[in-house]
Amino acid sequence: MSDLCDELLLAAYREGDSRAFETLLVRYRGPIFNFLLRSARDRGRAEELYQDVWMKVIERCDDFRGDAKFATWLYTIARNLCIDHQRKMKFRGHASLDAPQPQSARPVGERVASFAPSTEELASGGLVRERIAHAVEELPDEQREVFLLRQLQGFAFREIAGVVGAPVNTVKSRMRYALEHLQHALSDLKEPHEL
Amino acid sequence: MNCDECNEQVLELIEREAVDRDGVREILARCPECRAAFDELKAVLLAAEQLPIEQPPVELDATILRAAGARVPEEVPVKKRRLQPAPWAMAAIAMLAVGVGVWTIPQEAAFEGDVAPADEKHAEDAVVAEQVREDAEAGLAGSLAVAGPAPGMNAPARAFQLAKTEAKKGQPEPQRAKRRARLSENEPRAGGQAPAPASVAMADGAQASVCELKIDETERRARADEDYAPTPDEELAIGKCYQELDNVTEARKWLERAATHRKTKAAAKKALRQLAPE
Repeated sequence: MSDLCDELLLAAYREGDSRAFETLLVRYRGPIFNFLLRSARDRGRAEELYQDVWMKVIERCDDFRGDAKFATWLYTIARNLCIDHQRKMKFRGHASLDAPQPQSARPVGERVASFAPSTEELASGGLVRERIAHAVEELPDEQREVFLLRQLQGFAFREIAGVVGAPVNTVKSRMRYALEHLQHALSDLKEPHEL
Repeated sequence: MNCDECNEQVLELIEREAVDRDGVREILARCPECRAAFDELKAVLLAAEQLPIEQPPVELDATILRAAGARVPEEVPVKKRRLQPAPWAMAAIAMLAVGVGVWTIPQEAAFEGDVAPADEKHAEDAVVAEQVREDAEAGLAGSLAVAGPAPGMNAPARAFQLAKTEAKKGQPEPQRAKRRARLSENEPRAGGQAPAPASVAMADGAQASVCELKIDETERRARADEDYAPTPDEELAIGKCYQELDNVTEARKWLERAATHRKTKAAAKKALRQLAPE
């Protein structure tokens, strides 16, 4: 079962084979969750989105016609849900948790419990990873999604273009800008071994 | 390749999508600035690989799997289309129906302009005679038994005609009604004109076999005019008359003559096929 391609697994699931779906879930659970996590910038919301994505897959699996790869279809669903989520956040006027609050000099993100690096993580280089994660989350949406699709799923630029609905050259430019942003954000980590 | 082109492809080189790998490598080998840009980009990508990868809660996966298992595969509905003819079949049937309809239209109505004026009356007569014959068969000829056979009819023919008329009496009513309806439909197709007076008289009286009369009429014409030659429609009608009278030899002779004409070929051949072997 595990050596079957995604499209065949989905076809098997459509016919009622739940194990095929499980294989797909195992295959994509990590990349999809991290894509959502870095896009939503909130673990709780990422978990909700993660569940929504797979529910959409279950609901719409009969609509998948095989015109594109399953992975492209899956990330298109995930991306659309992220965009919807961001629109809702804008509509509700949520302030960024990283922004300083009027009644406090410290951002909310620093005052509440979070998955901020622990002492052990700081000691084992976790700080660097958190810095990288933060830098990625700070990327503009268009650059971040391209960067994440490339880094997490290893999509070719052409496939990313299919997911985000932009020309390949535009995707390449966004990737380049994303790397420049990251380079700038992580410039204080000068030591090569830190990178 | 120059440095600008090299910089444009550095990212592609790292991502293994470079168009001109060798060209970029050559530039990187001899240009320190390009090499520095390449190294910086590579370092960032290397750093990006340390992006922490988190796992979703296992409980969430269990919930999703439960939902996936609860999904009932969409049953493919029994294709109702199988009970219906395919569009191409419907089109073919429609074409066939039109073709049959055109074929069954009387030649006079369909090709009125093609009929020579001299032949027009004969052709009309043949159609009217055919209609009257059918009408007579449908029931009106029942009076034949009462009135007796036509004068001049030979004994076997008269005996046959009487037997035939009696048999027709037993024909089911719906069939006769159908025939009448068909005849009434045929009337306007005969050019919208009233039938020839002689034929009308025959229809009104229906005292003699139309077939016999038709045959007599042909013989009379032949006697009166040595050059007389029946039209293809007349040949066909006479052949059918003989066929009705079970005179196979004569029927075959006339039908074969009718079959030599393009106009009556199909109908004659059809009648020939129905003809009992001699």
